[in-house]
Amino acid sequence: MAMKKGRRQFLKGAVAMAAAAGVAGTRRRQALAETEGNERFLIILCGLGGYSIQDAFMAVRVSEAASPAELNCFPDEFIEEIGPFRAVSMAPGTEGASGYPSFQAEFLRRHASETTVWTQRASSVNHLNAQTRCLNGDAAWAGRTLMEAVAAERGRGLALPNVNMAGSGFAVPGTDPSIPAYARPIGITDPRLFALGTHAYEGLRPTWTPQEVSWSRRFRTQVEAGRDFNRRHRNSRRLETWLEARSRALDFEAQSLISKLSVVGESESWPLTEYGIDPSADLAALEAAFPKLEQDPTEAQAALAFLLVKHRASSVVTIAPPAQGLRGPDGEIVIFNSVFDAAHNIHRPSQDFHWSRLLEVADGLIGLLKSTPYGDQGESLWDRTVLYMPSEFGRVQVRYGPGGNFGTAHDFPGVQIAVSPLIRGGRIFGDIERSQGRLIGFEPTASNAIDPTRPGISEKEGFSAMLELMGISRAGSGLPPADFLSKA
Amino acid sequence: MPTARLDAPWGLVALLVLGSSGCTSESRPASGRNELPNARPVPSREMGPVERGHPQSIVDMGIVEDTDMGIRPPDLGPPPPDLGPLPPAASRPLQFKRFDQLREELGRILDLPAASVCVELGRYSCTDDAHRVVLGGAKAIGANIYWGDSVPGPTTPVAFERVVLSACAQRAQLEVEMPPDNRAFLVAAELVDGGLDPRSTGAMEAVHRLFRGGLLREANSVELEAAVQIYDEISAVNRLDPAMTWFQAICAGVLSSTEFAFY
Repeated sequence: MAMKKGRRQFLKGAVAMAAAAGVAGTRRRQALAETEGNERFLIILCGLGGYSIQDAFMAVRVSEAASPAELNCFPDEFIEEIGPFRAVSMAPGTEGASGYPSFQAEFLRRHASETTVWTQRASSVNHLNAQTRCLNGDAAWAGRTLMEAVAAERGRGLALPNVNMAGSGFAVPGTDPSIPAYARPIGITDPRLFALGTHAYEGLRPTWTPQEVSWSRRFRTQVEAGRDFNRRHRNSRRLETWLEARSRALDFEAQSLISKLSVVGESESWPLTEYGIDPSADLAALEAAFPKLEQDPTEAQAALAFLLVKHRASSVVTIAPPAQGLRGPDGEIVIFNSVFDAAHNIHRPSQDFHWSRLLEVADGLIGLLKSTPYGDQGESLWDRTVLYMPSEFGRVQVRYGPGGNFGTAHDFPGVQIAVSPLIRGGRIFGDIERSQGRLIGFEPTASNAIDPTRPGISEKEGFSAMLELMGISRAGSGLPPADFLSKA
Repeated sequence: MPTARLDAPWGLVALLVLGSSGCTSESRPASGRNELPNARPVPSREMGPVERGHPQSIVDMGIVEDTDMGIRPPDLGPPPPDLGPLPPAASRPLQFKRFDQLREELGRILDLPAASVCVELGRYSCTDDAHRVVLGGAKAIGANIYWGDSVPGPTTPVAFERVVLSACAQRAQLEVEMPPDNRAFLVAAELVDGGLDPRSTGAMEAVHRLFRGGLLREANSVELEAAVQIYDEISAVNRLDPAMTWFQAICAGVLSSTEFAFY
């Protein structure tokens, strides 16, 4: 009798497992069909540490400053105007120059018409708080992050809707319990290793065959059914999330993300073929777009961000340089310690260097997305993407003497930047009072008129504008209207 | 209805003014600024050691006192009336085993060095490097992830299973390569040409050992029968090493189950 019951239960388990895989696949296809042709992707490239827009697109000339020796301003000839923006390019050997060729002008020549800068006031000058708040609008919508809000609506049915490779406050999950489990962030600390974790057994030594794993999973189904553990703990949200994720995993395992999302090529450090893993078919394109992919984790993150979007694995990807300083094989600086925040000690070189690096990574991403067709109507993936480049706060613009060596503190007034064909590009919303280097706010709806009473819109308004741009319904959110980013 | 809003500086001023006015002074205890009515003085380093005899608890100071040990000091009078049995302890939310718990437990259960439980591409630790954050870990140095996430992410069960599959395959290989005395599970099972009798006491004992190690219980009759079924299926298609394949399947089935993954 026990034998018969056992067989029956075993078969039931096998059927349940096959059904779970089938249901996950069907759910994904249904969800993808719903969004087909209406997709939007969000890539967030964080300016970690607090960038100073007065060292880039809103730079001040010496001739404009009231007290040039006491304000962060540049010799007139170092500043080029491109559309409404400015680009700084310091002559080599100038005091404060990082020595890294400036990419600001080149970036603007290529993308100024799709670039928007808006003044926004941070509510904190503590890194962790300000980073968290610039991505959740200072907990404007029940504590959900921008990424979670977008993934909840645009990521349904995708394998990895919300991937986050950043750190510190940019990686803190939201606190809104109503956000569906699939929209929560997937934390990645090494983009070169992440793909391996999308498959339960490919690339393992000793090897497992699909049939062997199937036997193991069927036995697991039996263990779980027999003990009733899952039913007894059915009110556990974590268990529910686990089981849901497990059923979805069967589907994305079948998509071979382990190969599709691989950002490294075969080498002594990455013996992929020895472990039976195919490198990504896009590897050559990735290496061309990101020549420092092996040295700079930001470029490896950007490469993975592209692959995640290209293969429709994610709707939102967040990337950021690591805060720890890095040097290349020849001793050259790859990342300043604390990135933009190295400005505490050496404002100008660190801002000069990291503005160019930020924009180079952005340009590489845009190029890859532009070269990838979307649908059959002549669109590219870039036509569907918003590249958001936030920074937690701005920096004090005072310097004590005319030289290029000075340090700056955090400051509440700052800006945010987004680049996209979907945006009202070629615009600066808000302004700068150049004689003092002081940022000025604006009205985030209708007229977008200058608002001299504040240095920028609030985090909440910026959050609302980004959601509007991404086409996310804000019904019932209580968020203020802010539609300045969206094309009419 | 209009709402009042105090900007920060005025709010501060208002608080200071209110704080010194009579409307709040009456509610303050007369004896001291921080002292609540009936409050015991809170011991501190400056005040010296806790006075013995007071029913101080662990919760108060983290200091174990007589009352915490079930010993009643003699000067507290008669014991309180018996209120019957204690209610069940409040259930705690389930938690999944994080990267380090998984690594250590698999090493212990399967008798493997923890560092070799799962290594990606022969170089990168699955638990400590490759999948650490996905498996609920923090990584402050190098990644600025200061807190592990207690909620499983979309790839957490896959990464968890990957680590388990790696460990179980290693153990299975050792089980069939080792002489019986050096095995950890198939100690009493007779291996002939890579196969075994799944109904034998030795094979059943191996299953029980896996359950005891991973789930702290014996396998029940349905689970034992399922293990036999699996073996029959395996041996029908794998004539070279069905015992090894069977063991690793049973091992991974047990150790990737929710009953093992959660506590």
